[in-house]
Parts: sequence; structure tokens; C-alpha cells
Amino acid sequence: MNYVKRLLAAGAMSFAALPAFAAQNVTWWDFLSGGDGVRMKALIQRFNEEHPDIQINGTTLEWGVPFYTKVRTSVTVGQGPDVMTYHLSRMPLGLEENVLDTISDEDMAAAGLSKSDFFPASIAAASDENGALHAVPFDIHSIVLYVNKSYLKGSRFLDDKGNVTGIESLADFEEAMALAKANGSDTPLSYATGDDGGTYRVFYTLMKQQGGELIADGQVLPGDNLGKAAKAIEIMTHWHEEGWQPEQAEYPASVALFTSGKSAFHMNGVWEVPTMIDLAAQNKLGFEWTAIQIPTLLGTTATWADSHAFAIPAGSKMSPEKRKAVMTVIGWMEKNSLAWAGAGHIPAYKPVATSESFKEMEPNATYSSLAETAAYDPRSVIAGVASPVYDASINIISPAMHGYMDPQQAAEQLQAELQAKLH
Amino acid sequence: MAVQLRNVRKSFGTVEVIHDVSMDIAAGEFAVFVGPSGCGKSTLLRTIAGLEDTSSGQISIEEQDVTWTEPAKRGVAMVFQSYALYPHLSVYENMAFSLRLRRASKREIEEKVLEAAAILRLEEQLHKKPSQLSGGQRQRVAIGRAIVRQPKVFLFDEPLSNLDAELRVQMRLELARLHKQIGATMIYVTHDQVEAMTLADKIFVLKGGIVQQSGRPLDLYRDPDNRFVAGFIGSPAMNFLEGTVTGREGDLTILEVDRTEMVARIDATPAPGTSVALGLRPEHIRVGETGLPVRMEMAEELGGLSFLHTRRPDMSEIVVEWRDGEHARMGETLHLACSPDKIMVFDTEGHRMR
Amino acid sequence: MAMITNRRRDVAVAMSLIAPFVVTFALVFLYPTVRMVLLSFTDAPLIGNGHWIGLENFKRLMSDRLFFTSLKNNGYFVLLTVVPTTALALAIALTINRLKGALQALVLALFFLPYILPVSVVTEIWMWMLDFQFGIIQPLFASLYGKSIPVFKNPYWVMPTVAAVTIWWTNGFNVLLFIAGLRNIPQDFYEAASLDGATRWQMFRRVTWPLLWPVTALILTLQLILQLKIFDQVYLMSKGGPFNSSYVLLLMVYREAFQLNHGGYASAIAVVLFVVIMVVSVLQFQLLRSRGQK
Repeated sequence: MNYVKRLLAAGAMSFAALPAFAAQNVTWWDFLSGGDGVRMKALIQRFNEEHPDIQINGTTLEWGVPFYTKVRTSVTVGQGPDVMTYHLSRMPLGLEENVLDTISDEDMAAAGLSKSDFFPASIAAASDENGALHAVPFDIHSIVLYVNKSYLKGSRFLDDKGNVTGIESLADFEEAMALAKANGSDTPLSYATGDDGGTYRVFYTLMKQQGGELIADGQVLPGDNLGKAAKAIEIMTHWHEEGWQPEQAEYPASVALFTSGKSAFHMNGVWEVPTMIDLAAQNKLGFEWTAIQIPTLLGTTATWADSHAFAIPAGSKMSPEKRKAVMTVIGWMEKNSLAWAGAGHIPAYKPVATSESFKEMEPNATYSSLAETAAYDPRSVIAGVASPVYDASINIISPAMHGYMDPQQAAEQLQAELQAKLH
Repeated sequence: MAVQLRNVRKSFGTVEVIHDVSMDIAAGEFAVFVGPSGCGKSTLLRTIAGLEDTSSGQISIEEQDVTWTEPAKRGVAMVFQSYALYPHLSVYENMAFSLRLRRASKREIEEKVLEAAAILRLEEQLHKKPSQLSGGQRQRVAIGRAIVRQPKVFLFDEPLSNLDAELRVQMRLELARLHKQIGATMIYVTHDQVEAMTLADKIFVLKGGIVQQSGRPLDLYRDPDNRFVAGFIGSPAMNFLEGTVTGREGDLTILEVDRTEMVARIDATPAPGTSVALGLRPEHIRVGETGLPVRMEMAEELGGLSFLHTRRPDMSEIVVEWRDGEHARMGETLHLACSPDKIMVFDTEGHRMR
Repeated sequence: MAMITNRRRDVAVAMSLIAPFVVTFALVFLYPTVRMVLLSFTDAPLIGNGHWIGLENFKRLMSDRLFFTSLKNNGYFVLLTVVPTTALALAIALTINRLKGALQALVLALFFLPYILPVSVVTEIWMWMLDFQFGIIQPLFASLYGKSIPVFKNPYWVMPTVAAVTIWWTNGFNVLLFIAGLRNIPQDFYEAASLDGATRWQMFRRVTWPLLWPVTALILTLQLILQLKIFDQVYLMSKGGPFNSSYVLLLMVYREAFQLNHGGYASAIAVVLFVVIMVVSVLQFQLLRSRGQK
């Protein structure tokens, strides 16, 4: 017995002694796949090459509920990573779950960052009620309008330089869709109509463009917001009835509709920009494309947006050395976020976002203006990625716009359903 | 004839298990198929029932060709070795089963079931489930189910083999009584020659899918056609001794067994030097001063009589029936003799030499 | 004296023999169950402790519309699966039972194959086959209804579709149980019945069916329990929608616990489901058994 104890003690001592001369291993969890994943892995590899004293061990988990469930359960039992990616829209629930450590000004200094380096909206979204920071914003990503210019040739929607123009109201946009349809576009506006995220992002954008609020002061769709939600669903239903948007399109199908040239417009996240760039570079697209900020269809300029951020799990018994290493990782990532912008995102770190290099980056520069009018998800524990709001989108909004329920009724059910979750 | 078989053959795949069987069973007769396991007796019964198709030949029941008639329309009822009583039905319902299938009237069903129950003394058990009955009672229910159908022929497939010895004797008597009472034609399959002897009007001894011999029990006992029948019928079984013909004196054939002379009275005249088998039934052997020398090994005491198990010099066994009080002790040498009229002689192929 | 020591020794042996099971049972079933029940009286999050709030969770459950929708959907799903799958399994088993030798083994294996697949594979297969745009079954719908049907997005089609997939997936096991049951019926019964002049239907009605009843009752009960626990298929194929038309109790437990971090409330729902399953299955089994004994 004594022998075993001695052995264990010796082991513990040698482990404790290790950090002094060995590299810091930083356990990293993210949910990034596709183009995002490729770029993040490249960044991690670059970091590891440049930092012999810090090694990032990255693990990619499944986006959405699986990722956040895993984070919550593992962090609670002290088995979380050292650093992880986190959606700012998920912040309220993360704070309620107590899984996010506070990031102090000293931490930021260790990373060579300060709060003022970031877009204020993203810092606000990353802080709790008392202004304490719980995550470092990495990007701002939103939905944009991808355009297949070939369907608009010779119309009033394309100017001399080939820029998209003249879509300033819902009527304009619908005229453009009708025109594209007449020009042979099967489904002029493709988005993931059979998918929670795709439906929600368009719905929320239409809500915000009416100046509406999904959740305010703990109330779901208070006052005339109910009517605005109904109006948003009605617009989407109308697009369905006209045959402008695809029926029950899953995410990959919605992308394929655009890349195969069947859709004149495509509403989707900026994260598909690399797909288009790559396809165009390989001459596989077969048409001229661009991506623009979602036009102002309903009076107010607004676009659904979210941010990826870096967070440190709460309650980890990290050594100061390790904490410093983690902050070094975060700081490096921020300063090298131009590579991340290649995935379509707008860097949250202003020195990069306002740099000349970024301004030359297309089409990011075209739509980067949306950062000013970005509409984050409501700050609520039932909103954000993989939240009841997302569930309600696939459960209520999507079937309603496919004609299974009247828009007004659907808005009411949405209200009742979400309100019930806010106990 | 109640049942008539003509050149019936039955094969399973390429294996023929019934070879060209022909037989006649008279109305009201109790016929028993007996033979060792695998002799084809059960297959033959199932062929008559229609549960197996005949490969060739003809089966008639009451002068009607039923070779290709379905089982239910042959007018036969069968009692299975397992009884095949439906566990979920009461005794009454088990017996009423066939009548219900025919949609007989309630009154008819009740009448027939009660009648059968009375014959079999099952009145008290009618409401019980088979699982609540003793083995003998289950057996009676199985028979009752057959009686209710009033068949032209009853078929029994080893019906007593699942019973203990005492019950078997009792049920044997009941079956005999039943046969007398209802006077129906019955065909009964067993491997037990005692059952065959006690029950049968006519026995068919089967071996290897062939009827070896048929006839009244005592005829088979007294006058078997071959060594198989001679050995199979009778308990304890006949003793067989290998011997050689040495000569003939008048109507007596002289034989030599274990260097001892024996004499048999047969009409056949085998040449001297012919190898034969002598058949001696235990009850016909006398113990005397002279004769075949054997060593006493042990005795089965049955009270009134004993069976002495003795060994010949070549160590083969001879069983002797003993009725005269004190018998020889173990290890003593005895001398066995038998009257010439009682000795049977078989050739090397097993055929009887008469 | 010796007797007593022997008795004691017997008890000790018996105890030590059942101990591994008792310990395992207590550890992986009894203890979590007790904890779940206790949790249902608190406002605890998924992990960690909460405050004792008495029956508050259950009171709230009684005013939760989604709970009743889910309960109703569970009932609907049971209706759609339990009896149909049993009837189908019986029909298939009777057919297979009439086949012989290698062919029988082959056909049985074919029917059993889906059962060995994990649920995710099963749902993936069917989501492909029923895909609104590319599913190979959609042309069939189109020829019958004039257009493709998004079965997982249509409030009327979703539950029957989930039920059909579930039956396809789990039917093999029921077929196997029925085959075992059929093989337990001695051939003599059928021979006796055929001598009595029973037709095929009469043999089924009067011999097979009553003798198979214990197996049937067992399958019905197992199915009832299994189908009340429906979760995976709904979670993977329809996520409870559209309009909650495939929302079931376990999905609610899952969402409350893992999405909203409401451990206490989720436990309360789980306790109710637990009680429902226990009461309904015991009732059903008793009912079926008494029917069998008549």
C-alpha cells in the first residue's frame, strides 16, 4: 500500500514538474465543419508551427445541440476543454448554465487584446448584465443574398458595372424573383425551407426589418410584434405559393439549387462564400455570382447575425501558465483572423476588419456594411443556436409557410409555445 | 374387409420404408402392428390414416378406395402416442372438437360426448383441463375423442408407451374391454409384444418395412415362420443355439450342439453337415441328468416360477423356466434337454424348417 | 443444531449467488430511479443540486399544453404500432413457418435483418427513401396522390410514417418470437385436427391462435412498453414537428433536460412516463392473461 502511495506521489510530482520545461498542451473543442473547419484546422496548424512551446490539440464535435450538451455536461464535471468555440447567441443560456469563465482585462492583456479592439455590439453580446466578459468575439457572420447575375441580365436590377441594384422594397424583390422565374429560374429564391436554421434566419431578418422583436422583457412577441411575426410568415408563405422558394429544401439541397444554377437568389450564411469562390475558381459554377447584404425589404435595414467566439470553461483548475497559453492562442487567432475571413466571415477584431487587406477581400467587403446593422438573436435562454427558437422554426414556421397552417395562427402558436418555455 | 392394403409402398425421398405391404383386416377385428423401432409400423398406420401419402399401392376402407382421400374423409380416428389433447380446451371441449368443426347441434354434441364419457368413466373430469388429469385419464380422453367421431376404424399409435408399467397393464385391459363393448375395427401399433399378444385378434409382425408374418397371437407363438418372429413373440424370448445336422432316424433329425446330441421332429430333411439354429422356448426346456451342459449363473425369482439364466461353454445365454421348487445354485452345472416336438429348427437365413 | 448451521450456510450461499445481480440492479436501476424521483421534486438543473419545491413540477405539468400533446401523441403512436406490428409479425411467421429448410432460414434472416441495424442507420435509410426531392418512394406517392409528400414535414403523415419505419425496424424480433411459439406447437395437434376434418382456417382459429396466445400476449406487452418509450426515431426523423404532431414524452424529457437544463422538470415528466408505462403494461398483461385463461 505504502509503495503504491509513494508511486502515485512520485507520479504527481513529476507531472507537476512537467510544465516548466515541456510544451503547454491546449485542449481545443470546436463545432466547425465544411469550409469553416478546413480554415480553422489550417489556422491551428499554423499556430502550432509558430509556437513550439504551445500545442493545440483540436477536436471537432457536432454543431448544435450535441456540441452544447457535451460542453455543459463535461464542464460541469470538470472534464471540459481548455478553450472552445461558442456562439454569442448562445451566451444567455451559457451564462445560466454557468459554463463560461470570466475573461478578465488581465487575460485580454495577456492575449495582447483589449475590449475596444472589437465591434461594440459583439462585446455587448459577449458580456453578462454586469459587463463582465465571458467570451472573446472572433467574427460576425450573418446571412447574405447570393445572386446569380445571369438571370438579371438586361433588367433594371443590374447596373452598367454588373452590380446588383434597385432592390429597395419587398415589391422590388418579388419583381426580381418573378423576372428570374420568367427567365427560366426554377426556384428563384433558394434557402433551406425545410431546415430550422435556414427558416429561422430568414424569418428573423424579416421580423427585424419591420422593427419587430421576437422576445422583449421576458415576453414572446409582445404587442404588435405578433402581427409582425404573422406578416413575416405570410411573406414566406407567399413566396412558397408563387413557387419562388423550394419546397422542404434541406440545407445541402438549398445550396445545390443555387450552385447548379437553378436559383437566381440564395439566402444563406456567409460561410458558403468559400464554396462559391472555389467552384467559380474551378469553372464549375457556370455563371457570374455575387453576394450582397440582404436588401431592405421592409423599411428597416437589418440582417440576422451571430458571432463565433472563444470561451474558457468555468471551474477549470488551470495553472496560470496554461491560462496564459490559452490567451496566447486566442490573441493569435484574432490577429490572424483575415484567414478566417476567407470563410466568408467578417472579423470581429477591428484592426483586421478595417485593414486594407480585408477591404480588398471580395465579396466580404461588399456586404461587410451589414456589421453595422447586424441583428443578434434576442438575449434569452430560449434563443440562439440549437435553442427552442430554432426548434419552433422547424416545428411551426416551416410547415406553416408550406401551407399547413394560417400565418396568424402559426404566429400565435409560436408565441404560446415559446412563452411556455420561458418559465 | 374393414381395411385392405394392396402392394402399399412408401418412400421418404430415395429411402423406401414400406416395401410392398398387403394385408386384410376384418370388420370388428383388433389388429396389432408389432415390431422393433424403425420397422415401419407407425408409418404404415399413418399411411392408413392419410397423414402420409402412399408412394404406390392401394388402401381401401370398407371396400372403398381411400388411397387419395383426405384423412378426415376416410372415417378413421386416431389416438396419438402424445394424446394430442388441446391444452387450452376442457376435457368436454376436447371430445367435442370434431363435432364443433362439423357444426353439429348443441344437443348432438352433448349426447355424444356424454355417451363417450360414460363408456370411459370420465363424467367427473369433463370440466377439467388436460393438465389437471392423470396419465391414464388423459389416455381415456384421447380415446374418447376418437369414440365421439364414431369412426369405421380406430387407429392407435403406441398409446400406452407414455404410461408407467402398472397403468399400462390396467389400460391394456380397459382397451380390451372397450373393444368388446363397441366392437369397432381397431388397428394398434406397439413395439411391446406383450401388448400385442394380449390385445390382438390378429398380429402383424413387421421388420424392415415388410410384414414378416401375420395371424392369431397363439398361432404366431406356436408356429412362427422365421427366426425373427420366433424370437420376437414370447417372453422371455426363445433361446437360439447354433448346431449342425448329423443324421436322421425315421422322422427324427439328429443334431449336435456343444458336442451334445439333440433330436428334433421335423418333416424337412436337411443333409448331414448343414448348419442350423435350434429354437427352444424357456418353458419347454427340462433340467435333467443328461443333455446340454450349462453353468448356472443367476435366477430371476418371480414367486410361482423362476427364470434360470445359464451359460453355455461359449458363454451365450440360455434362459430356462423353472417351476419345481428349489433350483440349482450359482456355478453348478446343469444338463438341459427338450422334447423333439418342441424344438424348432431354422436355416442359416432364418427360415423355419418344419 | 447442524440443521440450523446448514440452513444458515444455504442462506449465505444463496445471498452470495444473487449478490452480483442485486448489486448491479441497485446500482444501475434502483439508485438512478430513486434519484430521478427525488429530482422531480426539485428545481435542479441537469447536473447539480436544486431546491426542494414539492409537487410544483407536477402542478406545472398539469398546465403544460405540450405535455398533453405529447401524451396524446404517445397514445397515437402506440395505436399505430402495437397491434399492427403484432398482426404483421404473426402473418409473416405463419408464412415463414410453411417454408422449409434453407429457404426458411433465408427468409427469416431477411425479415430479421433490419432488427440488427442501429436506429440511426434505419432512420437514415428511410429518410433517404422518403426524401421529398430524391426519395425513391416519392414516385409512388406521386402516382397515388398526384404529388410528392414531405412525409416528415406533413402533420398528418408524420406519425404514421414514423410508425411504419418503427414496425419495419423491430418486426423481425416479433417474427422470431412467433416462430419460436409456432415451433412449440406439436405437429400432432395439427394431425389430430386434420383427422377431425379441420380446414386451414379452423386449424388456425382453434389450434394455432389459442396455443400461440401466451406468445401473442407477451409480444403485445413488450411492444406496448417499447413503443411508449418512443424517442430515437422521432428525434432523428421529425424532431417532434410539424406543429408538435410527433412530439412525444421522451422528446420532451430530452429537450427540457439537455436543451433547457431543467433537470427537475424533466425528471417529473420521466416519472409520469414511468408510472404510465408501469400501470398500462401491468393492466394490459393482466387483461391479456385473463383472456387467455377463459
